[in-house]
Amino acid sequence: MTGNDSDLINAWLHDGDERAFSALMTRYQEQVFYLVRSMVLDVEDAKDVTQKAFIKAFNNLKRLRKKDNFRGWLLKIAVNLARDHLRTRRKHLALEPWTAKGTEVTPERRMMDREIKRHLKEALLSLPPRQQEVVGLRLLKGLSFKEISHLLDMKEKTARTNFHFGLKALRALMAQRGLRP
Amino acid sequence: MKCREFWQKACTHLEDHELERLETSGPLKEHLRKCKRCARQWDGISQGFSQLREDIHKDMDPSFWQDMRREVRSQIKRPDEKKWYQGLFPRPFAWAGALAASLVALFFLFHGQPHKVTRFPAAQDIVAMFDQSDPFEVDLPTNEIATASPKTDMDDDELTDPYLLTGVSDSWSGVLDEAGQDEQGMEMKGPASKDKTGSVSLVAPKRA
Repeated sequence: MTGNDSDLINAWLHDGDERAFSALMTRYQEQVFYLVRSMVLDVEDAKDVTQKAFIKAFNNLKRLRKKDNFRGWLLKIAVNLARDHLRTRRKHLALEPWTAKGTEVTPERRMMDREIKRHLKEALLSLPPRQQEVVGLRLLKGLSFKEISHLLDMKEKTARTNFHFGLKALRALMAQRGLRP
Repeated sequence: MKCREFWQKACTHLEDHELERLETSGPLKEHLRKCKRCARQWDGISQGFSQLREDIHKDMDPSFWQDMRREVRSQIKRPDEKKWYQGLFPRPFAWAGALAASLVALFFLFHGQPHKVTRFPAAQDIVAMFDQSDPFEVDLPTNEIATASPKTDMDDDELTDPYLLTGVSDSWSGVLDEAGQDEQGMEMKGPASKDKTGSVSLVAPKRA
């Protein structure tokens, strides 16, 4: 089913059109998931947060005045839920199985890469929340500072400052861990 | 370029560029070539981020997205699903119906159960009441009076006491006796005489 967000939302709200629901989910679930994952890092956590974001959005869809602004509204809900999640589960760091891509990956190299990734994850999660959010959204999701400032409700300059200090702290943490790639 | 300057510029550079773009940046690249420590740290960060980004953006299985849609769908209601009370009244008058229902509920809440309807006497009872020959004549059987009295073991004198029979208490009977003696002749002989039918009637006291 095609159409703009506003049409799909109206079809869902007024007619309970299941195809409209499915189209909206399909259109945005990947965007939301990858955004959330760049913040919370863990797959299962990202899945949970993404589902919660969609449930919250669909249950409050009637309150959304500008239906065309669905994407921004949904992403903001997702970011806020991800922040809540990070606040409560900062201490837990789940390590995922990682499959190296490429044709010539030696076991030594794979182990080394895994170590780097593990160190970086731990270092990221031990950053102050704002810095972690900004660094993650910038370097993992590739969002611009304008988008980050909009999503996190902060000024663009604040986002840049947080990024700057976050990266500096990250370097210090990596050095502390004796990273030897 | 010193290490501190390198990291400051690298951070600023990354604000607007991707991690990989640093390779093309001349002075920064030059510093990395000379400083092994910064090179190690930079590699660690850039490689770590690249790998994490690959992990994060790696394609998920189609069933992953289907499961997610199904899970979300199971936890949200259809927006046009009516609540049970919304189906009771037609839509334009729903508010009036709800108002009426709440008024009835309030009425019963504050008044409790409806009052019991007092049963009026039946017509034949009313006729029987007016069918008596003399409504002013008290026609009481003696045994009813005896049972009505609080005393159970009475003497014969007491049974003949007109005040007791007429329901006047002992204290008042004494007062009345004295008053009768004072008036010389006003003797309250109150023998309750029984007529033929056995009913008791009061006899007016005789003057001496």
